[in-house]
Amino acid sequence: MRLPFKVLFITVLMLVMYGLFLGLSGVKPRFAESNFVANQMRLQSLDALVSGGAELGIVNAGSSITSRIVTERIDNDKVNLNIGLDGSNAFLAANRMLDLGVVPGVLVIELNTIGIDSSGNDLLLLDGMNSGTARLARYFPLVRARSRPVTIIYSKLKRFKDKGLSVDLRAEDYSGVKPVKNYRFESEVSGVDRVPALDALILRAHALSVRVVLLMMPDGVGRPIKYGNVAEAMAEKYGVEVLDLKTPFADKMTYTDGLHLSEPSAAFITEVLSNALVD
Amino acid sequence: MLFNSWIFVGLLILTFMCYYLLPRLNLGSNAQVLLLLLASLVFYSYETPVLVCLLLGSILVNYFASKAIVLSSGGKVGVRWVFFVVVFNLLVLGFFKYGELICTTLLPSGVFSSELIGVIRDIPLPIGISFYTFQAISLVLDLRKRGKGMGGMERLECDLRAGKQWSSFLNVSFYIAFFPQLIAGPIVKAHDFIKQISEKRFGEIEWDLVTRSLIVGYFLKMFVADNLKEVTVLMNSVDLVGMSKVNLLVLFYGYTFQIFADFAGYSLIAIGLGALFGYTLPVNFNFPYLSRSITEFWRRWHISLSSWLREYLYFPLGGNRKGSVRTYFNLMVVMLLGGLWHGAAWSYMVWGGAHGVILALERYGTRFTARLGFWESRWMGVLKVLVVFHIVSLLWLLFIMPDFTRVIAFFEAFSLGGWSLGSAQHAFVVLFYALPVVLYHGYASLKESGVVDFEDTKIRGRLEPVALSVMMFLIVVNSGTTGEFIYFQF
Repeated sequence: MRLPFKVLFITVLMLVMYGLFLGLSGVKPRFAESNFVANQMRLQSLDALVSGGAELGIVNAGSSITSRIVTERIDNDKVNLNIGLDGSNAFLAANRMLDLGVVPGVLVIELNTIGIDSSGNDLLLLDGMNSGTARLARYFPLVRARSRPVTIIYSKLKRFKDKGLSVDLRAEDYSGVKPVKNYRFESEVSGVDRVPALDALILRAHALSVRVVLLMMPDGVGRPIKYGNVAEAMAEKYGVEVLDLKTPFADKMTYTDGLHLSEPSAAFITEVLSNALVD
Repeated sequence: MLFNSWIFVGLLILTFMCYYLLPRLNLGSNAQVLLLLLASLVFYSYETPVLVCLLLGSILVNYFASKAIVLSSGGKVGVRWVFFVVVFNLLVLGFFKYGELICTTLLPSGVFSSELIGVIRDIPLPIGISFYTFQAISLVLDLRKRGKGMGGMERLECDLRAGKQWSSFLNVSFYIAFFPQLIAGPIVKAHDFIKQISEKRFGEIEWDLVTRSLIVGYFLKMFVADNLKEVTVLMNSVDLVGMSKVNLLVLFYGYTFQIFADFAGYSLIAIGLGALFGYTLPVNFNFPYLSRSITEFWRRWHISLSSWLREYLYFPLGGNRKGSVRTYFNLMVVMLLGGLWHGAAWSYMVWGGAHGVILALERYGTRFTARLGFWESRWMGVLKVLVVFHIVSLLWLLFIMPDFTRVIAFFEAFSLGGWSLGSAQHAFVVLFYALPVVLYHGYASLKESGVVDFEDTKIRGRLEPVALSVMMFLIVVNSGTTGEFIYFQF
C-alpha cells in the first residue's frame, strides 16, 4: 500500500507549493482557453465577493466584448467587477448578481449583444454554480477557475500576443465623454426594437436604487450600431443613461480578431469608463 | 449517478467501509454481495428511479431462465429457454433503443399512428441497457455451454440445481448490476465474473492497481476529455461554414482524442472500482491509436465489446471456418450489428459497415502484402499507424454528428474554408489537452517496441508516483466541466 501514500504525499506537497506560488506571485489570468472557463472565472469572482461581503461599486455586465474591460482597475475606493460572459449577454450574470442579493452602485449593461440568446453552456454554467465544487471554490481559491495552470499559461500567451496592438490615444481624447440622459438615436433603425429581458433587468435594478448605464462598446470597424433604438426607448421610458463609446472610438481601437478589443485598447476604454462614471 | 460526482464519492466511501466491515461480523459472502447489489441499485436509480424496475425485471427474467436452463440438463427445454430469453433480452433492447427507428423507417407508414410513434419517441433510453443486456445474454449462453467445457459457472450451476434460490438470485443480480461496469462496461462475461464471487478481505485489495486505474481514469476523463469537450461541442452547435480548414481539423482531432480519453477513462475507473471491491474487470483499451490496421484497432479498442461479439456472434455464425465468402459475410454481420448496438441511427450502421468493409479488405489484402518485403518495415509501420488513425478519426465524425447532413456540412465547410489558423483559442485547447493522450500512446509505443523497460522496478518506482501525483494535481486544479460520459448514450 506504499504507492497510494506516496502519491497522496507528493500531491499534497504540489498543491501547497502551487498555492504558495499563486499567493506570492499574485498571478491572475485575464483570459481563459474556453468561454466556459472564462465565464466560470467571472461568476466565481462574484460568488467570492458575496461570501466576503464586499461593497460593490461599478459592475460591467455583457458579453466577451465587455469582458475585456479591466473594471477592477477603476479607481473609486470600492470593489468594481466585470461579469461579462463570453458568448453570452448581460442578463444571466446581472440577474444572478441580484439573485445573490448583491446591489452595486452602478450597473453598466452592454448593449451590443442584448439581442443574442443565452447558450446552453451558460445555463449549464449557472447550474454548476450551485454544485458542491462551486461551493468549495468560494472558500478555497486553489480550486477556482482562476487558479487553473493551463488557463494561466493561455492568458500569459494571449497577453504576450496582444502586446503589439497598442493605441495612440491620450486623456484629452476622452475628457468630454460622459453618459447622456436623453439619448437620441440618429441612425437608421435596424432589427429588434424591444428586448423584454432588458426592461425586466432595468426595473429590477431601479427597484434596488441601482444606477443603470447602457453602454455601446467599440466592436470593430464598419459595424453599424445595433439596438440604438432600444437604448433611446429605454432612456425615454426609464430615464436610464446611455454611454456611447462606439461612435467616438470604434475606428481608433485595435482588435485581436476584428471584434474584441486588444489589451491596450481595453485598458484605454477602462480609463474612459472610469472618467465617465466616477464623479 | 456519475463517477465524477460528489454524491458518488459519498456512496462509494459508505459502501466501501460497510463492505470490509461485514466479514468481521461473520455474515458470509452473501452479505457483501447484497450490500454491493443495493449500492448498485442506488447508483443506477439515483437520476431516474423508475428505471430500476426495468433492471430488476431483466434480472428476474434472466434468473428464472437461468434456473430453467440448468434444470433442463441440456435437453430441448433448455434450448427453448435459451432461445426465449435471448429473444426477450433483444426485444427489450430493441423496444427502448430502436423502437422509433423501426416505426418510422422500417415499417410501412400507417402501421402505427403518429401519436403512438410520438409516445415511443418520448420514452427515454434506459441508461446502460445495451451493456447489461449483453451481460445477461452472456449469462444464459454460458450456462447453456457449460457442458462444452465452459468453466467458471460451476458454483452458480450447483446453487441453481440445489435450489439455493437466495444465493443464486443474489449472484445473478450482482453479476448483471455490479455498479462499476453497469452503465458503460467493460462488458463482463458471466464465466469470467461469477467465479470471482466470494468473501473479500480488506488485506487482499491490490492498492497499486486501484491507485493507478482510478487516477489515470479520472485524469483522462476530468482533465483531458472534459476540457476537450469545450471545443468539440462546437461541431454540433455552430455553423461550420465559414470556419477555416485548420479550425475544422482542430475540432476533428479534438474529438478523436476526447472520445478515447472519455471512454478509456471510464473503463479504467470501472476497473479501479472493481479492484477496490476485490473484482477483476477486463481491460477495455490497449492504446488503440497505435494500431497498424483496423483489425488490430478492434483488438485494442473497446476490447470487451469486440470480444463479446466474437464469442457470442462471430464464432456461432461460423467465424472463418466456413470458407472465405462466409467469413466476409460474418465479418460484415458482426460489424453492422456492432455499429447498430451503439445507437438507433443509420449513421452508426454506416460506421459499423465501413469498419466491416475495411476489415474484409484487410483480410483479402494480406495474401498480397505478405509477399511485399517492405510491408513490415519500421517506416511502413509508422505510416500504417497514421493511416489507421485518420480512418478511425474520419469515422468518428458519424459518432459526434449522427445526423448525416451535419457530416456533409462539415466536409462542405472544409472544402470552402481557407488555411488561416482561425481560432487560436481552439487550437490551444486541443494541443494542450490532447497532449497527455499522445504522450500516453508514446509511452506505450516505447514499451511495446522494447526501447525503454518501464517494468524495471527501479525506474517505475521513481517515475510512477510522480507521474500519478501530477495527474492527481491536475485533476484537483484543472478539471473540465463535469459531464456525462459519451458512452452513456449507447
